[in-house]
Amino acid sequence: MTSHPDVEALAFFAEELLEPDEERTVAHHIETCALCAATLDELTAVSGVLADVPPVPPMPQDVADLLDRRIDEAVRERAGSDDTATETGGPVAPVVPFTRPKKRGFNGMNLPRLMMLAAAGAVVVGGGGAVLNAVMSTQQESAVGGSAAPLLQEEQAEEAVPDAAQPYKPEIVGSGTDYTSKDLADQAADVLDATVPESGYGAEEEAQDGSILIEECAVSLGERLGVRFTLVDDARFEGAPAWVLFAPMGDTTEVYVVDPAGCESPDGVLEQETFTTR
Amino acid sequence: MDAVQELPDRELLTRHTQGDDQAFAVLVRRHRDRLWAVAVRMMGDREEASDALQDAFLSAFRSADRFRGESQVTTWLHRIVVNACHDRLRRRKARPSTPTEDDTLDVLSNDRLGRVGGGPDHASQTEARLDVHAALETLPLDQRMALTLVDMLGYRVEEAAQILDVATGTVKSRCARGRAKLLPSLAHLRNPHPPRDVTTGRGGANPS
Repeated sequence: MTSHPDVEALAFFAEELLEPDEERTVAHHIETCALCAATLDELTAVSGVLADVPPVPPMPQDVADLLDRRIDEAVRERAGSDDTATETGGPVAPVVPFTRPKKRGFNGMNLPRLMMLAAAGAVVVGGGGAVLNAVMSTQQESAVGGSAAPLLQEEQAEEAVPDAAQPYKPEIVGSGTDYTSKDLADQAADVLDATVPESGYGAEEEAQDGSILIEECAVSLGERLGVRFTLVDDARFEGAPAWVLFAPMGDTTEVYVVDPAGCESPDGVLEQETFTTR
Repeated sequence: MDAVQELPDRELLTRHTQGDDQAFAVLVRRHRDRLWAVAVRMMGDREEASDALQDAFLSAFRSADRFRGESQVTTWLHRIVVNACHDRLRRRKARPSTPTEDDTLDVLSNDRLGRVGGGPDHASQTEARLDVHAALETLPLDQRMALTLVDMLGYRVEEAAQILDVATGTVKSRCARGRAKLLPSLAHLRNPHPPRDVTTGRGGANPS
Protein backbone atom coordinates (compact mmCIF):
# COMPACT_ATOMS: atom_id res chain seq x y z
CA MET A 1 0.00 0.00 0.00
CA THR A 2 2.73 2.44 0.86
CA SER A 3 4.46 1.97 -2.44
CA HIS A 4 2.00 3.53 -4.90
CA PRO A 5 4.04 5.47 -7.37
CA ASP A 6 2.95 9.10 -7.54
CA VAL A 7 1.10 10.43 -10.56
CA GLU A 8 4.21 12.00 -12.01
CA ALA A 9 6.09 8.73 -11.80
CA LEU A 10 3.23 7.09 -13.66
CA ALA A 11 3.34 9.81 -16.29
CA PHE A 12 7.07 9.26 -16.66
CA PHE A 13 6.45 5.55 -16.87
CA ALA A 14 4.03 6.12 -19.72
CA GLU A 15 6.70 8.11 -21.57
CA GLU A 16 9.31 5.43 -20.83
CA LEU A 17 11.41 7.96 -19.01
CA LEU A 18 12.03 5.99 -15.82
CA GLU A 19 15.29 4.32 -14.97
CA PRO A 20 15.18 0.56 -15.64
CA ASP A 21 14.94 -0.35 -11.96
CA GLU A 22 12.15 2.04 -11.27
CA GLU A 23 10.39 1.09 -14.44
CA ARG A 24 10.36 -2.57 -13.42
CA THR A 25 9.00 -1.68 -10.03
CA VAL A 26 6.20 0.46 -11.43
CA ALA A 27 5.34 -2.09 -14.11
CA HIS A 28 5.10 -4.76 -11.48
CA HIS A 29 3.01 -2.56 -9.24
CA ILE A 30 0.51 -1.71 -11.93
CA GLU A 31 -0.17 -5.34 -12.62
CA THR A 32 -1.59 -5.75 -9.17
CA CYS A 33 -2.91 -2.26 -8.41
CA ALA A 34 -6.16 -1.33 -10.07
CA LEU A 35 -6.00 2.19 -8.73
CA CYS A 36 -2.66 2.99 -10.34
CA ALA A 37 -3.66 1.23 -13.54
CA ALA A 38 -6.72 3.50 -13.63
CA THR A 39 -4.59 6.55 -13.01
CA LEU A 40 -2.40 5.56 -15.92
CA ASP A 41 -5.50 5.42 -18.10
CA GLU A 42 -6.55 8.81 -16.88
CA LEU A 43 -3.19 10.24 -17.88
CA THR A 44 -3.85 9.02 -21.39
CA ALA A 45 -7.28 10.59 -21.12
CA VAL A 46 -5.67 13.94 -20.31
CA SER A 47 -3.85 13.82 -23.62
CA GLY A 48 -7.12 12.90 -25.23
CA VAL A 49 -8.92 15.86 -23.71
CA LEU A 50 -6.22 18.20 -25.00
CA ALA A 51 -6.34 16.62 -28.44
CA ASP A 52 -10.13 16.96 -28.52
CA VAL A 53 -10.02 20.71 -28.50
CA PRO A 54 -11.33 21.57 -31.97
CA PRO A 55 -8.87 22.76 -34.60
CA VAL A 56 -8.27 26.48 -34.90
CA PRO A 57 -10.00 27.98 -37.95
CA PRO A 58 -7.77 29.68 -40.52
CA MET A 59 -6.42 33.11 -39.67
CA PRO A 60 -9.31 35.60 -39.71
CA GLN A 61 -9.25 38.11 -42.52
CA ASP A 62 -8.70 41.14 -40.29
CA VAL A 63 -5.65 39.56 -38.70
CA ALA A 64 -4.35 38.51 -42.09
CA ASP A 65 -4.84 42.04 -43.43
CA LEU A 66 -3.06 43.55 -40.48
CA LEU A 67 -0.19 41.15 -40.93
CA ASP A 68 0.05 41.95 -44.64
CA ARG A 69 0.18 45.64 -43.89
CA ARG A 70 2.89 45.25 -41.32
CA ILE A 71 4.97 43.20 -43.69
CA ASP A 72 4.37 45.84 -46.37
CA GLU A 73 5.61 48.51 -44.02
CA ALA A 74 8.66 46.50 -43.13
CA VAL A 75 9.40 46.10 -46.81
CA ARG A 76 9.05 49.83 -47.39
CA GLU A 77 11.17 50.65 -44.38
CA ARG A 78 13.85 48.37 -45.65
CA ALA A 79 13.75 49.89 -49.11
CA GLY A 80 13.89 53.35 -47.57
CA SER A 81 16.91 52.55 -45.46
CA ASP A 82 18.83 51.32 -48.47
CA ASP A 83 18.82 54.44 -50.56
CA THR A 84 17.01 57.38 -49.01
CA ALA A 85 18.42 57.53 -45.52
CA THR A 86 20.50 60.63 -46.13
CA GLU A 87 17.89 62.41 -48.19
CA THR A 88 15.48 63.05 -45.40
CA GLY A 89 17.60 64.22 -42.58
CA GLY A 90 18.70 60.96 -41.05
CA PRO A 91 22.45 61.46 -41.03
CA VAL A 92 24.83 58.58 -41.34
CA ALA A 93 26.14 59.12 -37.92
CA PRO A 94 29.59 59.24 -36.46
CA VAL A 95 30.55 57.71 -33.18
CA VAL A 96 29.49 59.96 -30.41
CA PRO A 97 31.36 59.35 -27.21
CA PHE A 98 29.87 60.53 -23.97
CA THR A 99 32.48 63.20 -23.77
CA ARG A 100 30.63 65.13 -26.45
CA PRO A 101 27.41 65.78 -24.63
CA LYS A 102 26.46 68.67 -26.89
CA LYS A 103 25.60 66.21 -29.57
CA ARG A 104 22.95 64.66 -27.46
CA GLY A 105 19.43 65.91 -27.13
CA PHE A 106 18.82 66.61 -23.51
CA ASN A 107 15.71 68.66 -24.04
CA GLY A 108 17.01 71.37 -21.80
CA MET A 109 17.88 69.06 -18.97
CA ASN A 110 21.19 68.95 -17.23
CA LEU A 111 23.67 66.35 -18.24
CA PRO A 112 22.33 63.40 -16.36
CA ARG A 113 24.45 61.81 -13.72
CA LEU A 114 24.22 58.69 -15.76
CA MET A 115 26.18 60.18 -18.60
CA MET A 116 28.97 61.38 -16.42
CA LEU A 117 29.33 58.05 -14.78
CA ALA A 118 29.35 56.49 -18.17
CA ALA A 119 31.98 58.78 -19.61
CA ALA A 120 34.77 56.41 -18.74
CA GLY A 121 35.24 54.90 -22.11
CA ALA A 122 31.71 53.96 -22.95
CA VAL A 123 30.46 54.70 -26.42
CA VAL A 124 26.94 55.48 -27.37
CA VAL A 125 25.73 53.32 -30.14
CA GLY A 126 22.31 53.74 -31.53
CA GLY A 127 20.16 54.20 -34.55
CA GLY A 128 19.41 57.70 -33.41
CA GLY A 129 17.14 59.24 -30.86
CA ALA A 130 14.42 59.73 -33.39
CA VAL A 131 14.38 56.03 -33.99
CA LEU A 132 14.24 55.36 -30.31
CA ASN A 133 11.36 57.77 -30.01
CA ALA A 134 9.58 56.16 -32.88
CA VAL A 135 9.94 52.73 -31.42
CA MET A 136 8.76 53.82 -28.05
CA SER A 137 5.81 55.83 -29.22
CA THR A 138 4.73 53.17 -31.65
CA GLN A 139 4.67 50.59 -28.96
CA GLN A 140 2.88 52.90 -26.66
CA GLU A 141 0.16 53.37 -29.20
CA SER A 142 -0.19 49.72 -29.85
CA ALA A 143 -0.47 49.00 -26.19
CA VAL A 144 -3.21 51.53 -25.76
CA GLY A 145 -5.08 51.23 -28.98
CA GLY A 146 -5.28 47.51 -29.50
CA SER A 147 -4.46 45.85 -32.75
CA ALA A 148 -5.77 48.44 -35.17
CA ALA A 149 -4.07 51.54 -33.83
CA PRO A 150 -0.40 50.75 -34.52
CA LEU A 151 -0.81 51.06 -38.25
CA LEU A 152 -1.67 54.71 -38.22
CA GLN A 153 0.97 55.51 -35.75
CA GLU A 154 3.59 53.60 -37.61
CA GLU A 155 2.80 55.32 -40.83
CA GLN A 156 3.29 58.65 -39.18
CA ALA A 157 6.44 57.49 -37.51
CA GLU A 158 7.73 56.20 -40.76
CA GLU A 159 7.24 59.50 -42.50
CA ALA A 160 9.00 61.32 -39.76
CA VAL A 161 11.78 58.81 -39.46
CA PRO A 162 12.60 57.28 -42.78
CA ASP A 163 15.69 55.62 -41.44
CA ALA A 164 13.91 53.79 -38.69
CA ALA A 165 14.84 50.52 -40.24
CA GLN A 166 16.77 47.54 -39.17
CA PRO A 167 19.34 46.51 -38.36
CA TYR A 168 18.55 48.45 -35.28
CA LYS A 169 21.06 48.98 -32.55
CA PRO A 170 20.27 49.51 -28.94
CA GLU A 171 21.69 52.48 -27.16
CA ILE A 172 24.41 51.43 -24.78
CA VAL A 173 25.16 53.23 -21.56
CA GLY A 174 27.20 52.52 -18.48
CA SER A 175 25.31 53.90 -15.52
CA GLY A 176 27.58 52.36 -12.91
CA THR A 177 24.54 50.96 -11.14
CA ASP A 178 24.95 47.80 -9.12
CA TYR A 179 21.51 46.36 -9.69
CA THR A 180 20.01 44.06 -7.13
CA SER A 181 17.29 41.53 -7.55
CA LYS A 182 15.20 43.24 -4.92
CA ASP A 183 15.33 46.76 -6.33
CA LEU A 184 15.71 45.94 -9.98
CA ALA A 185 12.50 47.63 -11.12
CA ASP A 186 13.23 50.88 -9.32
CA GLN A 187 16.85 50.98 -10.33
CA ALA A 188 15.99 50.27 -13.93
CA ALA A 189 13.31 52.96 -13.95
CA ASP A 190 15.86 55.44 -12.61
CA VAL A 191 18.34 54.61 -15.31
CA LEU A 192 15.75 54.80 -18.04
CA ASP A 193 14.62 58.13 -16.68
CA ALA A 194 18.13 59.48 -16.68
CA THR A 195 18.76 58.40 -20.23
CA VAL A 196 17.53 60.79 -22.84
CA PRO A 197 17.43 59.36 -26.31
CA GLU A 198 20.25 60.77 -28.34
CA SER A 199 19.33 62.91 -31.25
CA GLY A 200 20.14 61.53 -34.60
CA TYR A 201 23.57 60.18 -34.01
CA GLY A 202 24.50 56.59 -34.25
CA ALA A 203 27.55 54.56 -35.02
CA GLU A 204 27.47 52.18 -37.87
CA GLU A 205 31.08 51.29 -38.25
CA GLU A 206 33.17 52.39 -35.37
CA ALA A 207 31.52 50.71 -32.47
CA GLN A 208 33.96 49.42 -29.95
CA ASP A 209 34.56 45.75 -29.36
CA GLY A 210 32.60 45.52 -26.17
CA SER A 211 29.61 47.27 -27.58
CA ILE A 212 29.45 44.95 -30.56
CA LEU A 213 29.09 42.02 -28.21
CA ILE A 214 26.41 43.87 -26.32
CA GLU A 215 24.57 44.68 -29.51
CA GLU A 216 24.69 41.12 -30.70
CA CYS A 217 23.43 39.97 -27.37
CA ALA A 218 20.60 42.50 -27.38
CA VAL A 219 19.56 41.65 -30.92
CA SER A 220 19.71 37.89 -30.56
CA LEU A 221 18.09 37.83 -27.17
CA GLY A 222 15.47 40.23 -28.44
CA GLU A 223 14.71 37.89 -31.28
CA ARG A 224 14.53 34.95 -28.98
CA LEU A 225 12.12 36.73 -26.69
CA GLY A 226 10.27 38.61 -29.38
CA VAL A 227 11.08 42.01 -27.93
CA ARG A 228 13.15 44.93 -29.07
CA PHE A 229 15.80 46.18 -26.72
CA THR A 230 16.38 49.87 -27.15
CA LEU A 231 18.79 50.45 -24.30
CA VAL A 232 21.50 48.40 -22.64
CA ASP A 233 23.19 49.36 -19.41
CA ASP A 234 26.64 47.86 -19.12
CA ALA A 235 26.59 47.61 -15.34
CA ARG A 236 26.65 45.19 -12.46
CA PHE A 237 24.08 42.87 -10.91
CA GLU A 238 24.45 41.59 -7.38
CA GLY A 239 28.07 42.60 -7.52
CA ALA A 240 29.05 40.90 -10.77
CA PRO A 241 29.34 42.44 -14.23
CA ALA A 242 26.05 42.24 -16.07
CA TRP A 243 24.20 43.76 -18.98
CA VAL A 244 20.81 45.17 -18.24
CA LEU A 245 18.58 45.28 -21.31
CA PHE A 246 15.54 47.51 -21.64
CA ALA A 247 12.60 46.80 -23.90
CA PRO A 248 9.83 49.41 -23.76
CA MET A 249 6.46 47.75 -24.31
CA GLY A 250 4.11 50.70 -24.21
CA ASP A 251 3.41 51.90 -20.71
CA THR A 252 5.62 49.27 -19.21
CA THR A 253 9.23 48.41 -19.81
CA GLU A 254 10.73 44.97 -19.66
CA VAL A 255 14.14 44.64 -18.10
CA TYR A 256 16.40 41.66 -18.53
CA VAL A 257 19.63 41.14 -16.67
CA VAL A 258 22.04 38.92 -18.54
CA ASP A 259 25.38 37.44 -17.77
CA PRO A 260 27.83 38.90 -20.30
CA ALA A 261 29.41 35.47 -20.63
CA GLY A 262 26.19 33.66 -21.28
CA CYS A 263 23.91 35.73 -23.42
CA GLU A 264 23.29 32.87 -25.81
CA SER A 265 22.64 30.29 -23.16
CA PRO A 266 19.16 29.68 -21.77
CA ASP A 267 20.52 30.34 -18.28
CA GLY A 268 22.07 33.60 -19.39
CA VAL A 269 19.12 35.65 -18.23
CA LEU A 270 19.80 36.22 -14.56
CA GLU A 271 16.73 38.21 -13.74
CA GLN A 272 13.70 39.69 -15.40
CA GLU A 273 11.48 42.49 -14.25
CA THR A 274 8.74 44.72 -15.59
CA PHE A 275 8.16 48.26 -14.47
CA THR A 276 5.74 50.98 -15.37
CA THR A 277 7.37 53.52 -17.62
CA ARG A 278 7.36 56.89 -15.92
CA MET B 1 8.50 36.22 -64.18
CA ASP B 2 8.90 32.97 -62.34
CA ALA B 3 6.08 31.91 -60.10
CA VAL B 4 7.22 33.14 -56.72
CA GLN B 5 4.34 31.27 -55.15
CA GLU B 6 5.91 27.96 -56.03
CA LEU B 7 9.41 28.51 -54.75
CA PRO B 8 10.54 26.44 -51.79
CA ASP B 9 10.65 28.13 -48.39
CA ARG B 10 14.38 28.31 -48.28
CA GLU B 11 14.61 29.98 -51.66
CA LEU B 12 11.99 32.52 -50.61
CA LEU B 13 13.96 33.33 -47.51
CA THR B 14 17.16 33.73 -49.50
CA ARG B 15 15.45 36.03 -51.96
CA HIS B 16 14.07 38.04 -49.09
CA THR B 17 17.54 38.56 -47.65
CA GLN B 18 18.75 39.59 -51.10
CA GLY B 19 16.18 42.36 -51.21
CA ASP B 20 13.23 40.71 -52.93
CA ASP B 21 10.14 42.61 -51.81
CA GLN B 22 7.62 39.85 -52.44
CA ALA B 23 9.32 36.76 -51.09
CA PHE B 24 8.62 37.23 -47.43
CA ALA B 25 4.94 37.93 -47.93
CA VAL B 26 4.65 34.70 -49.89
CA LEU B 27 6.31 32.83 -47.07
CA VAL B 28 3.95 34.40 -44.57
CA ARG B 29 0.85 33.51 -46.55
CA ARG B 30 2.06 29.98 -46.95
CA HIS B 31 2.45 29.34 -43.24
CA ARG B 32 0.28 31.85 -41.47
CA ASP B 33 -2.70 29.58 -40.79
CA ARG B 34 -0.59 26.96 -39.11
CA LEU B 35 1.31 29.51 -37.08
CA TRP B 36 -1.91 31.27 -36.24
CA ALA B 37 -3.18 28.01 -34.76
CA VAL B 38 -0.02 27.72 -32.70
CA ALA B 39 -0.33 31.28 -31.44
CA VAL B 40 -4.03 30.93 -30.62
CA ARG B 41 -3.50 27.72 -28.69
CA MET B 42 -0.49 29.09 -26.89
CA MET B 43 -2.12 32.35 -25.92
CA GLY B 44 -5.73 31.18 -25.56
CA ASP B 45 -6.80 34.60 -26.70
CA ARG B 46 -7.35 35.96 -30.18
CA GLU B 47 -5.99 39.47 -29.66
CA GLU B 48 -2.89 38.30 -27.89
CA ALA B 49 -2.33 35.64 -30.50
CA SER B 50 -2.56 38.31 -33.18
CA ASP B 51 -0.08 40.54 -31.37
CA ALA B 52 2.36 37.71 -30.79
CA LEU B 53 2.16 36.68 -34.40
CA GLN B 54 2.78 40.20 -35.71
CA ASP B 55 5.81 40.47 -33.45
CA ALA B 56 7.07 37.11 -34.55
CA PHE B 57 6.74 37.69 -38.27
CA LEU B 58 8.40 41.08 -38.05
CA SER B 59 11.19 39.55 -36.04
CA ALA B 60 11.57 36.84 -38.68
CA PHE B 61 11.55 39.50 -41.38
CA ARG B 62 14.44 41.29 -39.73
CA SER B 63 16.47 38.31 -38.71
CA ALA B 64 16.13 36.26 -41.87
CA ASP B 65 19.81 36.70 -42.65
CA ARG B 66 20.57 34.86 -39.45
CA PHE B 67 18.80 31.75 -40.61
CA ARG B 68 21.61 29.29 -41.11
CA GLY B 69 19.69 26.51 -42.73
CA GLU B 70 20.35 23.97 -40.00
CA SER B 71 16.62 23.47 -39.61
CA GLN B 72 13.55 23.74 -41.79
CA VAL B 73 12.29 27.24 -42.43
CA THR B 74 8.97 26.20 -40.91
CA THR B 75 10.72 25.01 -37.76
CA TRP B 76 12.55 28.30 -37.55
CA LEU B 77 9.32 30.23 -37.99
CA HIS B 78 7.62 28.10 -35.37
CA ARG B 79 10.45 28.79 -32.99
CA ILE B 80 10.13 32.52 -33.43
CA VAL B 81 6.37 32.39 -32.93
CA VAL B 82 6.67 30.16 -29.89
CA ASN B 83 9.29 32.45 -28.39
CA ALA B 84 7.08 35.47 -28.93
CA CYS B 85 4.23 33.64 -27.22
CA HIS B 86 6.47 32.51 -24.40
CA ASP B 87 7.49 36.06 -23.76
CA ARG B 88 3.93 37.31 -23.63
CA LEU B 89 2.79 34.43 -21.46
CA ARG B 90 5.56 35.08 -19.02
CA ARG B 91 4.61 38.70 -18.84
CA ARG B 92 1.00 37.74 -18.33
CA LYS B 93 1.96 35.41 -15.50
CA ALA B 94 3.88 38.25 -13.90
CA ARG B 95 0.70 40.28 -13.61
CA PRO B 96 -2.05 37.75 -13.35
CA SER B 97 -5.29 39.71 -13.26
CA THR B 98 -5.65 41.16 -16.71
CA PRO B 99 -9.13 42.02 -17.97
CA THR B 100 -8.87 39.20 -20.47
CA GLU B 101 -8.59 36.64 -17.77
CA ASP B 102 -11.38 38.13 -15.77
CA ASP B 103 -13.57 37.84 -18.80
CA THR B 104 -12.58 34.26 -19.22
CA LEU B 105 -13.48 33.53 -15.66
CA ASP B 106 -16.86 35.19 -16.03
CA VAL B 107 -17.63 33.13 -19.07
CA LEU B 108 -16.40 30.10 -17.26
CA SER B 109 -18.68 30.57 -14.27
CA ASN B 110 -21.66 31.47 -16.43
CA ASP B 111 -21.19 28.32 -18.36
CA ARG B 112 -21.06 26.33 -15.20
CA LEU B 113 -24.25 27.90 -13.96
CA GLY B 114 -25.90 27.03 -17.23
CA ARG B 115 -24.91 23.43 -17.04
CA VAL B 116 -27.50 21.08 -15.70
CA GLY B 117 -27.33 17.72 -17.37
CA GLY B 118 -23.83 17.93 -18.71
CA GLY B 119 -24.47 16.00 -21.91
CA PRO B 120 -22.22 16.25 -24.97
CA ASP B 121 -23.96 19.39 -26.19
CA HIS B 122 -22.50 22.62 -27.38
CA ALA B 123 -22.44 24.19 -23.92
CA SER B 124 -20.42 21.42 -22.40
CA GLN B 125 -18.03 21.47 -25.31
CA THR B 126 -17.51 25.14 -24.72
CA GLU B 127 -17.03 24.43 -21.08
CA ALA B 128 -14.52 21.73 -21.80
CA ARG B 129 -12.57 24.13 -23.96
CA LEU B 130 -12.55 26.75 -21.26
CA ASP B 131 -11.63 24.18 -18.67
CA VAL B 132 -8.71 23.09 -20.78
CA HIS B 133 -7.50 26.62 -21.25
CA ALA B 134 -7.91 27.51 -17.60
CA ALA B 135 -6.14 24.34 -16.55
CA LEU B 136 -3.24 24.99 -18.91
CA GLU B 137 -2.87 28.43 -17.37
CA THR B 138 -1.96 26.82 -14.09
CA LEU B 139 1.04 24.97 -15.51
CA PRO B 140 4.60 26.20 -15.61
CA LEU B 141 5.22 27.70 -19.04
CA ASP B 142 7.63 25.03 -20.20
CA GLN B 143 5.15 22.29 -19.52
CA ARG B 144 2.30 24.23 -20.96
CA MET B 145 4.12 24.91 -24.21
CA ALA B 146 5.28 21.34 -24.63
CA LEU B 147 1.78 20.00 -24.01
CA THR B 148 0.21 22.55 -26.31
CA LEU B 149 2.47 21.53 -29.14
CA VAL B 150 2.42 17.78 -28.60
CA ASP B 151 -0.97 16.87 -27.16
CA MET B 152 -3.10 19.74 -28.35
CA LEU B 153 -1.67 20.56 -31.74
CA GLY B 154 -0.36 17.09 -32.52
CA TYR B 155 3.26 17.89 -33.26
CA ARG B 156 5.60 14.94 -32.97
CA VAL B 157 7.90 15.03 -29.97
CA GLU B 158 10.87 15.43 -32.29
CA GLU B 159 9.27 18.41 -34.01
CA ALA B 160 8.36 20.00 -30.70
CA ALA B 161 11.92 19.48 -29.50
CA GLN B 162 13.29 21.29 -32.53
CA ILE B 163 10.81 24.11 -32.18
CA LEU B 164 11.50 24.52 -28.48
CA ASP B 165 15.21 23.99 -29.02
CA VAL B 166 15.52 21.29 -26.36
CA ALA B 167 16.17 17.56 -26.33
CA THR B 168 13.34 15.15 -27.08
CA GLY B 169 13.65 13.72 -23.58
CA THR B 170 13.06 17.19 -22.21
CA VAL B 171 9.87 17.53 -24.21
CA LYS B 172 8.71 14.14 -22.97
CA SER B 173 9.39 14.93 -19.35
CA ARG B 174 7.72 18.34 -19.60
CA CYS B 175 4.68 16.67 -21.13
CA ALA B 176 4.66 13.97 -18.48
CA ARG B 177 4.85 16.48 -15.65
CA GLY B 178 2.20 18.62 -17.25
CA ARG B 179 -0.20 15.71 -17.71
CA ALA B 180 0.32 14.66 -14.12
CA LYS B 181 -0.56 18.17 -12.97
CA LEU B 182 -3.57 18.43 -15.27
CA LEU B 183 -5.00 15.10 -14.31
CA PRO B 184 -7.08 16.25 -11.32
CA SER B 185 -8.70 19.06 -13.29
CA LEU B 186 -9.13 17.43 -16.69
CA ALA B 187 -9.53 13.69 -16.38
CA HIS B 188 -13.21 14.05 -15.50
CA LEU B 189 -13.91 15.49 -18.93
CA ARG B 190 -13.25 12.08 -20.36
CA ASN B 191 -13.51 9.70 -17.51
CA PRO B 192 -16.93 8.76 -16.10
CA HIS B 193 -15.34 8.15 -12.70
CA PRO B 194 -13.37 11.23 -11.83
CA PRO B 195 -10.82 11.04 -9.03
CA ARG B 196 -12.15 12.20 -5.69
CA ASP B 197 -10.36 15.51 -5.53
CA VAL B 198 -12.02 17.27 -8.45
CA THR B 199 -15.32 19.16 -8.85
CA THR B 200 -15.05 21.23 -5.71
CA GLY B 201 -16.20 24.63 -6.90
CA ARG B 202 -13.97 25.54 -9.78
CA GLY B 203 -11.62 22.80 -8.81
CA GLY B 204 -8.20 22.71 -10.33
CA ALA B 205 -9.37 24.63 -13.33
CA ASN B 206 -9.17 27.93 -11.53
CA PRO B 207 -6.19 29.85 -12.84
CA SER B 208 -3.81 31.53 -10.44
